[in-house]
Amino acid sequence: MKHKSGILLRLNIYYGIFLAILFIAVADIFFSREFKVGFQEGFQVGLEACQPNHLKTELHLKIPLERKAGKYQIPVNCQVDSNILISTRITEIDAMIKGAYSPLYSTLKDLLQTLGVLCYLIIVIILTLILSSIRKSIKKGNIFSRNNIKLIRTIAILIISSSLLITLGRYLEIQQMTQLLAGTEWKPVWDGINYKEIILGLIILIIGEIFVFGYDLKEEQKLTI
Amino acid sequence: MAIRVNIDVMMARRKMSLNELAEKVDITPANLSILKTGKAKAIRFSTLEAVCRILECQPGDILEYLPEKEEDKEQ
Repeated sequence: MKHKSGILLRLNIYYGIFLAILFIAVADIFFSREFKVGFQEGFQVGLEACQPNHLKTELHLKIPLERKAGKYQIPVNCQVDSNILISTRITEIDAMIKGAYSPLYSTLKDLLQTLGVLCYLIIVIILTLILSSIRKSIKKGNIFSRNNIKLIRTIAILIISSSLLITLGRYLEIQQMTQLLAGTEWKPVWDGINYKEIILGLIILIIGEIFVFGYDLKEEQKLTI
Repeated sequence: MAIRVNIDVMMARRKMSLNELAEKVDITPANLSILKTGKAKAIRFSTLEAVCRILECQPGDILEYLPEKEEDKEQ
């Protein structure tokens, strides 16, 4: 292969950057204040659940609220410069609900969001596998293989599925919160579908088709005497 | 495939075995077998030139075009 060493070098660099970013992202999540606070709260809720006669407790985080144009109702004193006027509005809330029990919404929402998160985990594992497989394939001179095509298609489907599953779970969560907060000043609003991930999944599917084309060319080349 | 490779006819005329021809043409017996059995998708001019040189024949002696209807009849 003409540019094999160049391709391998670049691929090794991308693989190294991918692993580094993965490591940093995981460390960032687990060592962040957000994670610590969330873990403590979740642990507390879990402990309470073990108490006899406990009230069912649910945590709903980052619920987006309806924005009203121009309504920046909360003034904030600017400490840096008293001539600057800052007005704010709340667009997101975290809610702790004790005693609420809507089994359909809760169970389905939790199931969908868990499946969505599992899909993300599987994506990370498969991405690591596929990059490793592609590196080995280039060394053997066999990048366009059925195995690589399957892995690429799996990643695309998992990205699209996880996005849709999490979106659906989120929708159910917002519906539940809308019902619970009806008549109050807080009006939850659904944050919509994550189109970026769906587009990314489609682009990866297209790349998979390019690999299929490459595989066909390779097979034809094998049968060229 | 509409192109039939009649290499075995020429090999019989020159009394040459598959392995012998493969060695002289500098391709593997497996690849020559693919060519002989009609499974090849394409042939390089360099390979065709070597085969014609060794078998002392013209490309038309070993390559035959079969229109689709005739190919179906044969099958």
